[in-house]
Amino acid sequence: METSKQAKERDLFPGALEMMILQTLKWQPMHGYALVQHLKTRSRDLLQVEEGSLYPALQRLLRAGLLKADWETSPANRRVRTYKITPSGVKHLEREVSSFAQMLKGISLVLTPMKS
Amino acid sequence: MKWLWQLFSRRRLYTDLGEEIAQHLQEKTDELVSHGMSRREAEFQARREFGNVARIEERSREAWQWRTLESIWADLRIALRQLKRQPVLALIIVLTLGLGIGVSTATFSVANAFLFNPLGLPHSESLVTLNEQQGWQQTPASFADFSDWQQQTQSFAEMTTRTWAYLNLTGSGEPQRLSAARVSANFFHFLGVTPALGRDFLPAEMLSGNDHVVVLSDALWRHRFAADPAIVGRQITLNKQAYTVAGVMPNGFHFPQAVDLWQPLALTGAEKSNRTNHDFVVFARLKPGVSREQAVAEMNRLAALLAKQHPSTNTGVSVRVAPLALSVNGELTPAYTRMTLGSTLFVMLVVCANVANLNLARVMARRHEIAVRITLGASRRRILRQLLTESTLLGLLGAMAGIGFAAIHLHLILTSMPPEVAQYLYSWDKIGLNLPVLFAAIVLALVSGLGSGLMPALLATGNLSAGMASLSATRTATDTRQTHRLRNTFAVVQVALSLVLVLGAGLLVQGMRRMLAVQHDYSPRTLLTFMINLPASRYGDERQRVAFYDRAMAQLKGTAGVMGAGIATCFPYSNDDAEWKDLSVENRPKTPGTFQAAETVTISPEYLRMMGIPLLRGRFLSASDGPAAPPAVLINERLAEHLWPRENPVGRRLRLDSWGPQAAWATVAGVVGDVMNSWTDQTAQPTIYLPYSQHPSDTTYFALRTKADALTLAPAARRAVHEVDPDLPVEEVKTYTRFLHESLLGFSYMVVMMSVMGGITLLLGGLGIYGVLSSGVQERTREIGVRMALGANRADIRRQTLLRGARLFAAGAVIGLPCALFLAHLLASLFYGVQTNDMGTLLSMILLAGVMAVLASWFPAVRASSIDPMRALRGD
Repeated sequence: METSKQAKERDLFPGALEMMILQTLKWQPMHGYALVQHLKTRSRDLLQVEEGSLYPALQRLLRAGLLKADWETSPANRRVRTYKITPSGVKHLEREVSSFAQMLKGISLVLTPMKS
Repeated sequence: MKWLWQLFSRRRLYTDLGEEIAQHLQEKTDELVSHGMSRREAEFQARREFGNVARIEERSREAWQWRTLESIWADLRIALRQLKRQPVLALIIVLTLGLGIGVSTATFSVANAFLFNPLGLPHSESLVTLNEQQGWQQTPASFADFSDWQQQTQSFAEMTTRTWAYLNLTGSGEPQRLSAARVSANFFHFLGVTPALGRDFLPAEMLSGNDHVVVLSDALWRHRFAADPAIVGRQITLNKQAYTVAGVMPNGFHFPQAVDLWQPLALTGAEKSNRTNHDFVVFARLKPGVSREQAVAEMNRLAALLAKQHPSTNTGVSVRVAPLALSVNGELTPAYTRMTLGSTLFVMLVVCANVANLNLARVMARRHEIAVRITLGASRRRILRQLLTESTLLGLLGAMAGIGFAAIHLHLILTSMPPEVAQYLYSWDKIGLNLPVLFAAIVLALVSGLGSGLMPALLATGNLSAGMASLSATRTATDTRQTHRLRNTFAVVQVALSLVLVLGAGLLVQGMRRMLAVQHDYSPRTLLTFMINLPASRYGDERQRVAFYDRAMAQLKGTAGVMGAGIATCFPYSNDDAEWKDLSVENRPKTPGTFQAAETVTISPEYLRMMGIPLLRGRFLSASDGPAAPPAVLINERLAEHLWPRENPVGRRLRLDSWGPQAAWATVAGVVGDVMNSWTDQTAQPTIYLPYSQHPSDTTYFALRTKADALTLAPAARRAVHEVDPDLPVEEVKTYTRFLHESLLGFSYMVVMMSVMGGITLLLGGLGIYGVLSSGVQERTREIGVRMALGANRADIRRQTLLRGARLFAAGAVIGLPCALFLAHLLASLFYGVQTNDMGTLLSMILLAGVMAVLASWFPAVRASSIDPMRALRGD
């Protein structure tokens, strides 16, 4: 019960935010704030992600060993914690994306109006 | 191990997270400001878009947490805080539990060594020992019987035997007397052990003449040969003859008791066919699937067959098949251990009852808090969990204290045991705070912690309305009644159990005193004893031994300070059984199957007089009973009654069968008083005393009578013996007092333990009564105030509280006394000296417990009677 409540607050559906984070970091390492900005602009503001909800997701990924984080100094001379994807993160992402694609395909098949 | 690292690096992770979020908000704010927003507004906007910082931090942290562990940890922290709020109470609980756990853990350590796996051998459950039994006399087997068993039985996979020998080691350093086991070829294979160095015996070495090889024990190898790795193949001198070292056994192997070395059992043809020399301890391994009962049946069929074939030696002989584990430590050590272990159960129960009462006081004081939490929506289960976490924590803290107590306790046991006794206790070296013992302590802690916390916790969370009512100052009647009933029950249980233990301990102490009282006949403090073993190589001939004893006695008597000197092969209460020998009476044919034997003790003429053993008839032995004189013996009263009831035995003649049928008959010169050779004898055994001049033994105890402390004579005695033979080791030099105490060590260990435990339970029982009464007085302050105001006088109030204490004690006694009497019967049947009808002891122990109860009631009673009615009424 608790988990479903958390999931509702966390993101769109379980795993989606994580997938987007991994995909973004695969393209380029970045820190939390930059990640939020990136997600917002990439989704053309269609996704309403609460900025803070990024952090629990990052911690879960860190713990699972899919990401690693290092304190660095940004070009704007800020001390930021930069996240990078790990090899097992890349593998995980591939698996998730393919199963997500399958699920999406399944859902869209069901949702397509039937020709009678 | 990753989770472990995470557990410890967690603090850093959390700081990182906090800093990261702060940076995020900062960056966002800066950006908004750069777009023209005021800083104040920008900060507000950044926070709003970010969401609830505290919640997000919490959820991020959750990613790192192991849920159950974390919540248990949280519960533990709360529990610790709760305990800190009532530190004195918590400390009392921890110490009480610690005392119980400590005593039990230490006892368990001893029991673990002696009872549960004393052998430490592979598949030891199928190992048995075989002994012969004739009448009530149990002996090892004769070699011919052993051979027949080995060849004619089906029940056993393997059978082996050993006998004893003593050897004098000379050559490097002080001469040393070594104990050896002479073992048959398959002995080591049977036990499943192989030497750590070298090899064990070859079949060829079981032949007389080839047998000058030995396997050393680890201890001998280390102490005598400096753990020389090149020892194998070297020659050592034993009994002045050269022996080759074939191997060294691994550390810790000493079966069935510590010996210094092993020798091959090479016997002559005559020795192999001997059926009267019962010197061979037989070990056997049951075939898989064969029960001990089946083996017993087969052995008894075989024994009957042998009795027919060899009627003169085997008539009436049956075979005892006993588990090996039982036989290595005798029957007494396990009996003592079991008794002590059983008593710790009582101690733990009393401790738990006591702590349960303390816990009840603890949780009842928190009923307000509990009621509020339940009203605010906490589940009963949640609060139960919290309360039980607290009692478990108390239990574990108790275990820590207990392990401390146990360490002290074990240290005392280990250091108080003389090494020369410890070496005969199989598995003595396994006693200590090892893993199984620590595990037992933890289990004990959890069980006692939970056990003593459960009832109070259930009661405290059970009746919500009562809990709510306790918010207002008035308590409901059912609530208090329930609590009181529980408290009283715990107190009564404590009284009952402590009575049982105290009575048991009292009887045992009295029994021990009775046993030690007999020693004063011998004035043991002024008696110095030591032992000498004459090696066969130089003292193989009787005349050589007699000459040695004559010269040694003369030397010793001439030593300054010696008032008298004597020798005997067995001292009273030495617990070494004297040698049993079959005997025949002149002109009286033997009936086969009847057991006619006596313990034989070889003495010097002045020994009995020196020990104060009375002459009843005839004369003592004298110097005139020399090697050339006609054989003379003394017999004790018991043997006289047995052989010549209502007749005068003096002048009658008898003969030991081991002398052979051609030997001269020995005349009974006199009858002397009975002496117990063993503490476990209920009555004296029939005994024959032989003069050393006619039957010189190779191993003998010496006794020297002195004026003052006997031990001061020890160096002079050593010198005197070395005057006669500088190569002889003088061993086990000690006063007879010490000698006696060592022979009673197992028993006295049990007695001390039982007394300590009796004392602990008595104290706890007293505290139990005290606790119940004083909390009763506290709760009834108002009522007492009212009654005083209405005219009750102080003496009445005091009497009332004392009466309540008396009722608790009486209820405990009603339950406890029958159990105590049962225990008394058990003790009396197990241990010599303990008597059930010892009314004096029983009554004085009950009185002692009663005094404790009165003391425990007195202070609350005085407090009750000194209540000031005015203040009591105004109090609430």
